[in-house]
Amino acid sequence: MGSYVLRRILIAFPVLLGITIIGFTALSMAPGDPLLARLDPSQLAELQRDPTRLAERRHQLGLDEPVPVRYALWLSGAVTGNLGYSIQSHRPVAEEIWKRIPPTLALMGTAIILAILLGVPFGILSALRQYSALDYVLTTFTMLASSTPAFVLGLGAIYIFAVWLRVLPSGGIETLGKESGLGDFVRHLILPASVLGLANAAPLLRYTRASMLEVLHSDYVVTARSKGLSPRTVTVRHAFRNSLIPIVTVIGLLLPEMVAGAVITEQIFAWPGTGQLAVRAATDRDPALMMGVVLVVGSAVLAANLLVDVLYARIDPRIRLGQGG
Amino acid sequence: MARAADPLVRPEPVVAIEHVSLRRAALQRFLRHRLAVIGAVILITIVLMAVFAELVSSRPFYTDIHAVSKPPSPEHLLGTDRSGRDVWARIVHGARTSLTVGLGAVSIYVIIGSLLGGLAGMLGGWVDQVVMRATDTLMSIPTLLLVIVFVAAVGPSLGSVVAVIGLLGWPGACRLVRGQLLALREAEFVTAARVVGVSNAGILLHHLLPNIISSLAVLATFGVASAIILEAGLSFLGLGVSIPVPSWGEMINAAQSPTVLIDTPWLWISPGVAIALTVLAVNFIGDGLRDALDPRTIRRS
Repeated sequence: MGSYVLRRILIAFPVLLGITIIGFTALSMAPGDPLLARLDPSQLAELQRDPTRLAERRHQLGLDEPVPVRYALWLSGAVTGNLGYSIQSHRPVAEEIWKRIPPTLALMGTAIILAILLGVPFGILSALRQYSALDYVLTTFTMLASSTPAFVLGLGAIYIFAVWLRVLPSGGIETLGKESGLGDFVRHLILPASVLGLANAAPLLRYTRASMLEVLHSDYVVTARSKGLSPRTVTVRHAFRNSLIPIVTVIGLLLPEMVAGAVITEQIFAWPGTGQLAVRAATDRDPALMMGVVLVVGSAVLAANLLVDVLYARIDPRIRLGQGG
Repeated sequence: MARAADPLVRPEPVVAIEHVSLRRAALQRFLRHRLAVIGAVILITIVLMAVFAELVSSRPFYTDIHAVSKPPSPEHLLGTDRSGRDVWARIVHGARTSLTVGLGAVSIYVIIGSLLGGLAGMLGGWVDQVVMRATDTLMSIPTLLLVIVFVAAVGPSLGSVVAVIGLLGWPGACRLVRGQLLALREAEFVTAARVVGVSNAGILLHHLLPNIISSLAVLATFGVASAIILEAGLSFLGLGVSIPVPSWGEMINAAQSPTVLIDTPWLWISPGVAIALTVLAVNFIGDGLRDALDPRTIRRS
């Protein structure tokens, strides 16, 4: 088990490097002066008055070097926690990102739990009563939900619950001018988390249904049934446990998609998270900020995948014992 | 029947008949898939609308200052936006953008993915290693984030959206082609063809390609649906096609302002429905294709 986790971690690092290389190469094609993203703004104003010193500083920072060298410089900075400065807000990128992580984690965590709570039980139910009215209703729902973009779903939700019924706030993370508390935070969290959760419950439901159907038709379930075990025992102890394995994989595969959904959801609901920051970095063409977001989101997705892999090994003894490679 | 007795003539016609009947069986299965047919009808309508946009609607850029933010009426079927532009005209012309991105980007990445997957599967060794590690890396990053990074670098426009989705979307196709190649290489009919003396190119063209193409068609169909959603999302964020080009996502972008959202709901509801309907139609077709082209289901029927 320990060596399995270690091997996974060792694979994750080159992938993370790959992600940052792709991002850095792309951003180095962008027009604009990268020097702006590397200097403390107080020094910058002073330097800009003197072109020779500016060129000197550029050389000192290695910005007249080719892209691979500049990437190495960025990387050595990143290792020590120095991600450069945002050209728009003039604040250190690390600080900007750091305060945006908790809101995103709260949003995504709630959404994932919601997606699992809705997707898995209804997927199993749908499979157990294949071709029933309930199955058709659920299948139609997943079709509709996975064809409607998150922002259309989000605007619809705002229109119904915030504008029409006036029961929930339309966006933000706290009511301005009011003392912030847990209740207020939860009220703001409900709509964005529901939209993101619902959007991801749909594919999860579909996969759970398919996985459960496959297991229900397998030989050992037929055997269990013909032995005279009660349908309940067969479903819970034989079918469900084995359908869990692909379901866990799917949750892992959904994570990158979910991050993408979070970017759009945060934008609609003015949720002050990393996704909103990514959009800002792109609209402002802020390379250091963009790289910071890529690094943090990339690490988070890889860490989550790692967690899924470990969970996977816990559930499936074949992997834990090294046969599944 | 008499010819069938001749061992020298027999193989060719039998193979040809088999070929046609497989294709016809697939078509029949597709036509029996009710939702797929509905999807095809909807999509064909949308495609015709996009192609003949000038005939179906009027001037998407024309601003009528006497009809600003007007609700739907006989004159403006879906109302007008804040600059007095006809929403129906923008929906119809927006279909062009969505379909261009969907088909353009997917064509690009299916070609790249097939080439890379083909190379990895055929050559194996370090080529396979490099390609597969690149695939893993691309697949572990959220596509939207990556696309945002690239659009931030090259600037938003219709061309860059197509190019970026096309250049980044290939891992799925690559994995599929490589996997199929590896699986088919061991298949008995390939060994049989080799024994009979079919050349490598012949095996690739006549035995591997037809098998891979059906899976690729299904992947590409669902890919078109994702690309349309991705373009809409990008344009919604203001990072997609640039302003004068009508795009459904860009139309909804305006609804981020509370006044638009509340006072002029027709501005965001109709493009929202247009996206959902198009994507739903493409997904239905994808489902139908998957059932129709899967050789296992064909054999069962």
